[in-house]
Amino acid sequence: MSLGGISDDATGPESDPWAALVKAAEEAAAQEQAAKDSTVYPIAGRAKAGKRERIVLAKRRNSRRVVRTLAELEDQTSVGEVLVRQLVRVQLMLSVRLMLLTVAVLGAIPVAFLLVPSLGTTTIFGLRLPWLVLGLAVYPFFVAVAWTYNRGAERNEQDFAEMVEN
Amino acid sequence: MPELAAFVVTVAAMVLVAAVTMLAGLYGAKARATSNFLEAARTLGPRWNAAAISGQYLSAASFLGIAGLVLKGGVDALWYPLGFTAGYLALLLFVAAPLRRSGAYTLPDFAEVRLGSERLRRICTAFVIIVGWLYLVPQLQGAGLTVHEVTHQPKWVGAAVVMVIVSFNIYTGWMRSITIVQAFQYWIKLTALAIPVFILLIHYAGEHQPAGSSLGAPPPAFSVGKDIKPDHNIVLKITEPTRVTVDGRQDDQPTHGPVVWPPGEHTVDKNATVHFDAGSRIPVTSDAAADYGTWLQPMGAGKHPLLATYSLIVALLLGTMGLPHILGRYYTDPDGTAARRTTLLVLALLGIFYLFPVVSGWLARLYVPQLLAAGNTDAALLALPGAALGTGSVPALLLGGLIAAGAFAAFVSAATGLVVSVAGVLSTDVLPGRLRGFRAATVAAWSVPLAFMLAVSSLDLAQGVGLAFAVAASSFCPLLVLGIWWRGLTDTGAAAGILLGGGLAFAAVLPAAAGVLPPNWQGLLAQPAMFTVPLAFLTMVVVSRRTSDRIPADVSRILLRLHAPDRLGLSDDRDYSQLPGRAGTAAAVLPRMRGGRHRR
Repeated sequence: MSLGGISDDATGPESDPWAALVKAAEEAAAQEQAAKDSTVYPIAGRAKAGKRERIVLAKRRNSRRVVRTLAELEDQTSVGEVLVRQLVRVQLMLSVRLMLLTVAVLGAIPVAFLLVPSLGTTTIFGLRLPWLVLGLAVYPFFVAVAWTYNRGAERNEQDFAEMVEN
Repeated sequence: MPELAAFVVTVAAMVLVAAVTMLAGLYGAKARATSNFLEAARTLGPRWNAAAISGQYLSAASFLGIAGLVLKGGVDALWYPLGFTAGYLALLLFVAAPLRRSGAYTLPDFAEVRLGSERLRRICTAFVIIVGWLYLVPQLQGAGLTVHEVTHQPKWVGAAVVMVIVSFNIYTGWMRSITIVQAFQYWIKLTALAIPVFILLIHYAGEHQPAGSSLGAPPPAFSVGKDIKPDHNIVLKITEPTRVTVDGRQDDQPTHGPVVWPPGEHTVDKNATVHFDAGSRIPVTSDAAADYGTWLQPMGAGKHPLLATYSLIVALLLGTMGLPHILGRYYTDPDGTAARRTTLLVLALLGIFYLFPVVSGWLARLYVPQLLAAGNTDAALLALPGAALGTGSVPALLLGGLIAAGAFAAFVSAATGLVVSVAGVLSTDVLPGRLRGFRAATVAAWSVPLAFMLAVSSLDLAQGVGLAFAVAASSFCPLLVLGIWWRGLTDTGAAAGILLGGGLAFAAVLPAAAGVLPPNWQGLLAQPAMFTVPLAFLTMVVVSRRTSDRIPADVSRILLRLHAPDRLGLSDDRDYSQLPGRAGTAAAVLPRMRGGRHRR
C-alpha cells in the first residue's frame, strides 16, 4: 500500500532518475580525473621517486580513488545522494517484486481451494493435493525465491560498487 | 513399572542431550580461547550460523505444537509451519543485510542507530519485553506438558525445571547461546524428530495400521470406556447422541450422573470428569475438524476460516523479523552478504525440519485421535510411540525418550535465547546496575511468564506463539522496513506506529493469551495482525510526514551504510563509534556486550 509512496519518495524530486544517473556518472568521471592528477600511485611512485620501492602484488580493495568517491558519497553531495537513492530504489524494487510474487502465490492457494473445491480432493501419488502443496512444495519455492533474491541483490551491489570504483 | 522405565529412559535421554550440548560448548570455548570470541564465531561461516538460527528458532511450538495442530485442524494447520518459514523470506528480502550493516545488536539498538531517539529506544525495549514474554509462555507450557506426560508430575514442575536449567546456563555460561551450541541444537532436534517419524512410518507401512483409520471413517470410537478430564474449559462437538457419565459442570449446570448428549456442541468445565462408554464415537473439540473428510480438506474448521488464515499468514510472515532472540544472531555474520546467505540456508533447514512435525501430526490422527476429546492435542507427539508400538514396549520407550529429549532441547534453547534477550534489555534499559542487574533481570525475565503460564494455559502451543508473532509484526516490522527503506521516517512517527499498532495487537491478544475468551471467540481477536500491521505502517507514514522536520540530519549517511555493498567497507561496526553525536548509543553498548554476557 504505502510502499509505492515510499519508493517515489526515495528517488526524491528528480523527475528522471536515469538522466540524473548519467549526470552523476559524468561527474564521477570528472572527479576521478581530478583524483588521478593529484594522487601519486604506488606503482607510479616507484618510477617518479626512485628511492623507496613499494611492490604491489595485488590491487588493494580500497584504493585512494575509491576512498575519495566514498567520501563524496558520505558528504551527501548531489552525486553521492543520487547514487545512494538509486541503489536503495533498485534494491527495494527487487525485494518488492519478489515479495509480491510470494504473496500472490501464497494468497492464491486458499482462494483456489475455496473456488475449486475439487482441487482439495485431488490425489497425487496417494497424497491429497493440498497436503502436497502446503506441506511440501512451498519450501523449495521459498528457497528458489530466496536464491533469486540473493543473486539479484548481489548483482545490484556489484553494479553500484563498480560504478563507484571506476 | 512401565512408568518408571519411561521416566528413567526420558531422563537419561535428556541428560545425554545436555551432556553432548555442553561438550559442544566446551569445544567451542576452546576453539575460540585465544582470540576475540566474536571474531572466532564469525570465522564459522553462514552454514554454522544458519543452523544456529534454526536451532534457536525451533521452539516448543514447532517441535510439539505443529503435530498437535495438524492432528486437530488437518491441512489448515499446515499454514503454521509454512508461515514460520516464510517469515525468514520476508526477513531476507527487507531486513537481513541492511540490519547487519547497521551494526545493531538488538531492536532498541537499531531504533537508536537509525533515529537517534532515547524515547523511541525505551518504547522498543518495552515491546521486546512483551514479545519475549508472550513467546516464553508457550515454551514453559510445553515443558510442563512434556514432564506431565512422561512422569505425571504437575505441570509447573517441567516449567520450573526448564527455568532452572536456563538460569544455570546463563549464570555459568556452560551452554550459552554460542553459535556452535545452537547449531548443534538444530541437528539434535531434527534427529530427535526424524528418527521416530521414520520408524513409525515404516511401522505403519507394515501391517500395523490402526483399526478404523481408513478414509472417511473417523472420528473413531473408544475401544474401552474412557474418562476425559480437561484442564481448561472445552467445547466438545459430537455427531450422534452419546451417553456420558459426568461428574462436574457440563453445559453450565452441575451434573453428577449419566446424561445423554444430543448431537451438537457441549461445554465441559475445567476439572469435570466425563466418562465415555466403550463403543461411543470419540468427540472432538469445537475448533477441530470433526471428521476425516474435513480434516483432509482445506477450510475445514474454524469460524472465519479465510480471513483468519490470511491474518495468521500476515502475522507469521512479518513477525519473524521482530523476534528479539533471532535478530541478535545475525550479528554473528561478518557482513550483509553473509547475512543473506545465512538466511537462504535457514529457509532450507526449516523446510527440511517442518516435514517431520507434519507427518507426525498425520500419524497422530491415525493412532491417538482420543487426544482430540481431551483438548490436549499438544501431547500428540509424546503419546504417539506408545500408541503405535504398544505402551511400555522397549521401542516405544526409546522413541518416547528421544522425542522428550528433543522437545526439552527445544524449550531450553529457545527459552535461553529469549531470557537472555529480555534480561539484556531489562538490565541495560530498565534496571540500574551491571551484573547484579542482569541477574535480577534474568529472574524477572522468566518469573512473569512462569506466573502467567501457571495461571492460564488454554491455548495450543503454536497458537500461543502466534500471539507473540502478531505483536512483533504490528510493532517491529514497520519500524524495520520503513527504517531501512524510507528516509522520511521520524522518531515520532515510529513511536506512534509502534504504540498504536503494537499496543492494539497486544490488547487484542491478551484476552486470548489469558484464556478468558470463550473458545468460539478465538477467531480474529486472537489473530489481529491483518488489521494492526497495516494500521502501524499507516500511522508511521502519516505521523512521520507531519513531523518531517524531525528527520535525522544524517539520514543519507545512515541509509548509505545500510545499503552500500560490503566490499566498499562502509558498514564496519567501528564506524558507528566515530559518528558525531552517537556516543552512548549502540556503539557504546556493543563493546560491553562483546566482553560480557552476550558472547556467542
